[in-house]
Amino acid sequence: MSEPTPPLVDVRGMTKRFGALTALDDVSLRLAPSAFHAILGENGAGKSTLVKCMMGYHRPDAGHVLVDGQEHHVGGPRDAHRLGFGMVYQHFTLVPSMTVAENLVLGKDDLPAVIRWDVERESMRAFLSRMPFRVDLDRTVGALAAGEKQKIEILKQLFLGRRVLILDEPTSVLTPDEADQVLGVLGEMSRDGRVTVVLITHKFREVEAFAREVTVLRAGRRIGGGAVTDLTRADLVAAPPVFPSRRRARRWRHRRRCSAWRASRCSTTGA
Amino acid sequence: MALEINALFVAGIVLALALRFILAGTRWGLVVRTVGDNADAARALGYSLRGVRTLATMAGGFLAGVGGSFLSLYYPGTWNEGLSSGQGLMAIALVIFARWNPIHCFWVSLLFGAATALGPALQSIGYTSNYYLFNAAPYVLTLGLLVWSSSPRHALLGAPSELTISK
Repeated sequence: MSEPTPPLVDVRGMTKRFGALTALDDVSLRLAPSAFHAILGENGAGKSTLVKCMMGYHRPDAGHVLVDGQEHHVGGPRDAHRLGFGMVYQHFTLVPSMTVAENLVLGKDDLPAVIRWDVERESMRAFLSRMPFRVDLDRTVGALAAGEKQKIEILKQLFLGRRVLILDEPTSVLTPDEADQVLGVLGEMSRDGRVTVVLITHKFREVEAFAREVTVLRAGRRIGGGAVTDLTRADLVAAPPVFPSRRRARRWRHRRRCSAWRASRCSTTGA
Repeated sequence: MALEINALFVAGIVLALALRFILAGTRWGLVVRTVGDNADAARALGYSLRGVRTLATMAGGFLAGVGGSFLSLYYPGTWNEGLSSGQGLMAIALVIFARWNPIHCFWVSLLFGAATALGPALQSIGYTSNYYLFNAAPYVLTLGLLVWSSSPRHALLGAPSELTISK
């Protein structure tokens, strides 16, 4: 069965201000079809703000989204869903007392007033037969392990026809093994050309092991990025932080010298 | 007449079946359950928590009113102060015991009805000793169920997780 391939997504000049604070300052992002793109940054770097602007949760002050070369107005999550954008959150948005099947159906934007369960189940079974892992539709979600739940979140987005998956720190509630499993599945699906993955994270390991491109944000600005294979870990951290004041910047440089000095002492006493 | 069945009894059966269908098979039902079980999920789906909760509470209030009308119109059929005599609390215990399933609620309400009828029934066949004790049967049942269901060892399967004060 053929599935629509993910679109080419171009995010241009996204800017979002909250009062006096510029949370996002002229950030652009290009997502080739079936890319695996990581957005790396510290807390407050604007990672979530960027994707919330893409998903229509925030109205950007400037910037727009091009999908397959056409400009689209994203006024709300439903508009984003229509473009094939889907979001997976750090915390689960599954309903624990419902079965997997009920949870999959629940996300439909055009959920009919009366659900035809026979039709829905048939389409779910057809969909699941194309997925790289098995799930039991009749299990209650509350009884599943965290890794399983996160896989079902991803499955739900795919079932709903979303081809650009945006994952906001999806592994923070998972064990390292579970995280590798979930990201492995995503990597496989993006290599097969089924989905474009945008992974928000602050873990270098995940970027190096799974992502193919990366964008580094700091204090709302894009400070680096490119193909992961061209970058070293030093490139990802080298750019100095952007400080709100000169005094903070001086303090930061001082601390860095101090820790370098301590490190040098440790190595001499150890030898 | 030995078996007098009130129209509201039939309405109760129909309501239990209808609620079962609505909660499992319609968009409204799924939305109500989502709002009750995971507010974040409902918000992410774009449903209004306050709107759904207000409507659900109104529907619940309406049904409770129907239940109350049974008391003043049929059993005992007159109105006086404190007419419900704690049966509202009993209804809550009943829902917990029935694990939030409308069909189970129907069976459990028969159980509670039987407990309530115990005192008068024994009296009508001439057994009058311990009259007050038998009349207390539904309250003892309620208390027992509440104690049992609040024990941490019994996982409250099916209880809406937004319905808590420890969150």
